[in-house]
Amino acid sequence: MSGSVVTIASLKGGSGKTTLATCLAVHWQLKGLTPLLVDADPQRSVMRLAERELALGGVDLLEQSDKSVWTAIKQHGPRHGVTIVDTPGFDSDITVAALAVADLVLIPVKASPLDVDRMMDTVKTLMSGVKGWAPTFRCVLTQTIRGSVISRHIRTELEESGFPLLVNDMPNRVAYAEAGLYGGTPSLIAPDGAAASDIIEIANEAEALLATKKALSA
Amino acid sequence: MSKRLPRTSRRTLDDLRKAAKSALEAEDLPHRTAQSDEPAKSTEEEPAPLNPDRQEKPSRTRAAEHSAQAPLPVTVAAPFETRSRPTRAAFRQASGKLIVERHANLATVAGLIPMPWVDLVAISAIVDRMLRRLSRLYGQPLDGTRSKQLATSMLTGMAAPGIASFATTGLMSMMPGPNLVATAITSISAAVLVRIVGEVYLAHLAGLAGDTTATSPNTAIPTV
Repeated sequence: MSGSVVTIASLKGGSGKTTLATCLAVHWQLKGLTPLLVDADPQRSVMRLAERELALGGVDLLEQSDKSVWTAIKQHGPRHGVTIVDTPGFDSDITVAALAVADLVLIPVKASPLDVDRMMDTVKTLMSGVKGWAPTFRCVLTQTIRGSVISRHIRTELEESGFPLLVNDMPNRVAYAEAGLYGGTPSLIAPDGAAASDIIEIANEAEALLATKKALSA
Repeated sequence: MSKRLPRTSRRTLDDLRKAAKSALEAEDLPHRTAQSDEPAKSTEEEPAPLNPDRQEKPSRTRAAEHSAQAPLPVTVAAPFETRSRPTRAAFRQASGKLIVERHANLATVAGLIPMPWVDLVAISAIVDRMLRRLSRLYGQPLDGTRSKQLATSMLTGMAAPGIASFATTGLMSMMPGPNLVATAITSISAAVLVRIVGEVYLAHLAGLAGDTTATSPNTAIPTV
């Protein structure tokens, strides 16, 4: 997965993009993959987290919240095992540029109608943003409540409508907010906890997708 | 026990695909029309319309049905937003240039190997690797044997002066005095040679892929 780019995109704010991006970056850092985390969001959420005590476990960071982000990724990405891009939560050329260089796009979506609606707009942007460029994408259910009817309902509905989803959700857990207080993620604060296990499962799925994609294009 | 919940959306992935496809076709059509009628004027002078895809906000399902019934009318010229966005050709070219750049740098190091002929073998291996990377970028993977043949023929065919320089400096490096000069010349020649081979092969691949309108990464996304 050397040099791969994973873009976390959703045109809706608050869907869990930054949380997912930082969690994956820190997990891969702990795994020794030397990731690069690109903050392409003008809100600077990643950079703000990194200013806290744990500094996201020393992950290499790049702040580039304009549409030239794709050239920055092309320049710096090859020197890292994997590049994770956190995008803005609104429709912009920054998102399109970040989507265009992605090998894998993860679209966090909460189990709610508004989030599902914006997820579809994100997929549409992905399909029409850059001509002829079609990265692999997967939706990730975030902030789900374990065992809730709505989570199951949304998952089933999206699967029936043909939207590819990661098998593993990112359930709502206080560990994410608590870890954020220290500028870290659950993998740093509580590596044996449930949240860290969720991250491992999601990261494993992403790694498998990237490996498959690489094998197909080799 | 389980509650019955209504659907959150009637749109399917297929609906989105169809809508995106018809939007791309609608963008392409005026491009072609403009080229045949008035080459430069219509694309530059039309008021910059929004992406037609974004105008049909109310119902994507309806849009998909509409596109299935009849082709979208040609009402807009090349949308500004589309032109300002990077194309696949631009991305490929930017990636290709980075690959060439990196291998040219590697060749500079390989040229510093102070053993005559060993540096040549190292440079050939770098060219071979570069050609395989470039081919993979354009979706035309080369197998090991073919890429080695290609690397050899490109090095010997296109870069005969470079090879002559290597041979000369290789001989010079056997002598104690001009050894350092020879190493420096080999290193610089190697970088130039690999860059030339890479750029020619990149142009060849771009031609095969039909990326004739590829722009540089700087022009692909103008900094407005």
